[in-house]
Amino acid sequence: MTRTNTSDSRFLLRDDLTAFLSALSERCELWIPQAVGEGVRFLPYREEALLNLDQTPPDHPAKSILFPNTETLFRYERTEDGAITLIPQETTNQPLALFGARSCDIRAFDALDAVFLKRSAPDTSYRQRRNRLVIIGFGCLDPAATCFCERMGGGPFDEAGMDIQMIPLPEGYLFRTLTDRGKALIAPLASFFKEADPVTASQAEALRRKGAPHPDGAAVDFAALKAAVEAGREEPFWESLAAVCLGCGICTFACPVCSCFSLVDEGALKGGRRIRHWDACMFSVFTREASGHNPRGAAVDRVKQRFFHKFFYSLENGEPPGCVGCGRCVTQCPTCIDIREVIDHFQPGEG
Amino acid sequence: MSEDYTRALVETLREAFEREGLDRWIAYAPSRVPLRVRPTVFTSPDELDNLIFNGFCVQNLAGYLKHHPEGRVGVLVKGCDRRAINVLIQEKQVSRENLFLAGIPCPGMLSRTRLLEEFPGLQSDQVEESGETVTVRTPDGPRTLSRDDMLLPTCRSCHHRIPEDVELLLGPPPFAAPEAEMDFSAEVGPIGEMPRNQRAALFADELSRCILCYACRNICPLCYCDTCFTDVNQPAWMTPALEPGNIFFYHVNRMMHMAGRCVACGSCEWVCPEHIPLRLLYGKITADVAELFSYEAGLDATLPQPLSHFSEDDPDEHIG
Ligand code: SF4
Ligand code: SF4
Ligand code: SF4
Ligand code: SF4
Repeated sequence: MTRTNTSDSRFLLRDDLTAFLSALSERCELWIPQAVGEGVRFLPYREEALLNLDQTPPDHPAKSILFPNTETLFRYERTEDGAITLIPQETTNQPLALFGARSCDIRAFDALDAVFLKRSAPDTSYRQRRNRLVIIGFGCLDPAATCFCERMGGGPFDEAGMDIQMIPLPEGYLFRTLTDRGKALIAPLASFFKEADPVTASQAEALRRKGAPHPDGAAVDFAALKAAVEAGREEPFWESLAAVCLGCGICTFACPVCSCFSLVDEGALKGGRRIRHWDACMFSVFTREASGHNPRGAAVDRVKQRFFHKFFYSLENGEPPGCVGCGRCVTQCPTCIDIREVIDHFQPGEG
Repeated sequence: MSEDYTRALVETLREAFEREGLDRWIAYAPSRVPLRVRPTVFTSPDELDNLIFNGFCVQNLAGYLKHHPEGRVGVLVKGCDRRAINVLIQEKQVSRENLFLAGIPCPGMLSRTRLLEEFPGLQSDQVEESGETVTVRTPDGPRTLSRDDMLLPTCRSCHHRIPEDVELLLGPPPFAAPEAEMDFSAEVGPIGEMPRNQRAALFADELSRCILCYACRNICPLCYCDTCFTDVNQPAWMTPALEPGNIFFYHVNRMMHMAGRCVACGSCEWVCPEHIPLRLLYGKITADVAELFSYEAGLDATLPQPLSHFSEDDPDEHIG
């Protein structure tokens, strides 16, 4: 991605945000964080949607823009004479804009890219969305007590992967354009912005440099963690987690990095479709084989798998670690299985 | 005051653990996660030092009996945990003689959602429970709320807080909400009286947020099937596509499977990451069973269950 040479900062007044989003939605497929029920999820823009930029981080991850919970990969039709026609997924070249995602979710895209683009065969459905993606990220003024992005190598104002970084300030938002793609997205909407005055710019710069105060332990040494996890494969520690884990899908569905899926064919004589849907290593049926044998038949095997994938297999495969420290699984796990405690258990003295 | 209470509780349970020679004890321990406690399987009396009981101990612990069937198990039970165990006994999923039950007169659990709404970013150590109040330490000084106002919806209509038929009935905690005034049937009544399309719209709207994470099924002490219908693929009763038909199918089926069994503990509603009011949506079935069979699940382990019992004098009104 081309980085712009000059640092290009413009200011959008808080009161102009609604009109800006409405205008932006006419130029691209726009996704924004919206209040749905008592939670916040990323969904396609609608005029009547309730934008929510306050929940840090939104309780649903932004991964669904690239990796939807359920998608139809293709359909097929079968005519009377038995001929089968494949109907591929519709594609478009329209930019796909993700607005208001936090740095943790955006860093998680690296891990998704590793799975869907960089292994032997790129995933075409993921790739067409990824290629269209333009990201307007949002700095976190107010990290939650359960956020630990800094320990995982990120930070509330980390700009990695963003095309534009929005910095929330008292009167509005500073838009820092970081790539040509970001520049192209908002260039036609120049009339919404004013030049950032020096005071605003320096306020934003101070925030960005300082990050928000967030003293949740030292940075994780992933190589050491990987070695410690491997050495501790048989520790009773895992049993203590598995003893209460419900084997539900909350932690993996909430995780911006988790990318396990299953494929299902829904078919009838006249036609059908192949869907891909989120699956979870925590579901006991995830690895059940047709014979009935289940290589991860015990809860402890599944609990281990989740953390081994994050801190061992990913790294072993030269992929990014499986956790960006968003804390969603921490707050949402009903049984308080806390990934920070897993890290601290294997890297004592750093928590 | 509550520290003294916890210490006394720990000592009482430890003494029972040792005296009875139990293999494990299922209860709760503190956690760093705001307004949550960790369900815990304690494997030795020493570990009990870490046991706590407070208004966040919502999760029905009876569900863990299916995961830890061996040996003699102690369980700290509230009214609803105890009633769920009765259903498990009726359904021959656990043997009463393998259990050592320590009953705690339930003070009514607190709503995490309500508290977080009122105090965003609230941490457990800012909350002090005493008497009929909950005091929250905020940067602007303490705020005292009535416990009754902060109760979990399910506890507002619970009339069985004191667990019956237990080996050890513990003293009441030094914090408790007054006796519930609401009645569950009255609470779900309006849903039953809605015109059909309005009720359908309510269900469709609430269930539209479901992500099929199955936490509601997995936490339910009475959903213990080895293979749930959701996971059967020959035939496939439903597919995993996150679409309204599948979501409806899942919930309507689970709902029917709970008829005459659900003890209205509210664990499913509490666990739902999408805050879907499952207890209410499922509640009409419970209210119907109460009305048609004068039966409330979990009150007596020796009674036959209305929907799995054949009786020759059944009027069979639904037939013909
Ligand atoms: S770790 Fe927690 S959220 Fe994940 S499956 Fe277990 S109980 Fe569910
Ligand atoms: S493992 Fe948990 S904390 Fe880490 S990225 Fe996933 S949800 Fe966030
Ligand atoms: S259906 Fe819900 S309320 Fe009823 S017993 Fe199961 S978890 Fe409790
Ligand atoms: S816990 Fe909530 S979101 Fe998960 S399956 Fe049940 S109703 Fe759906």
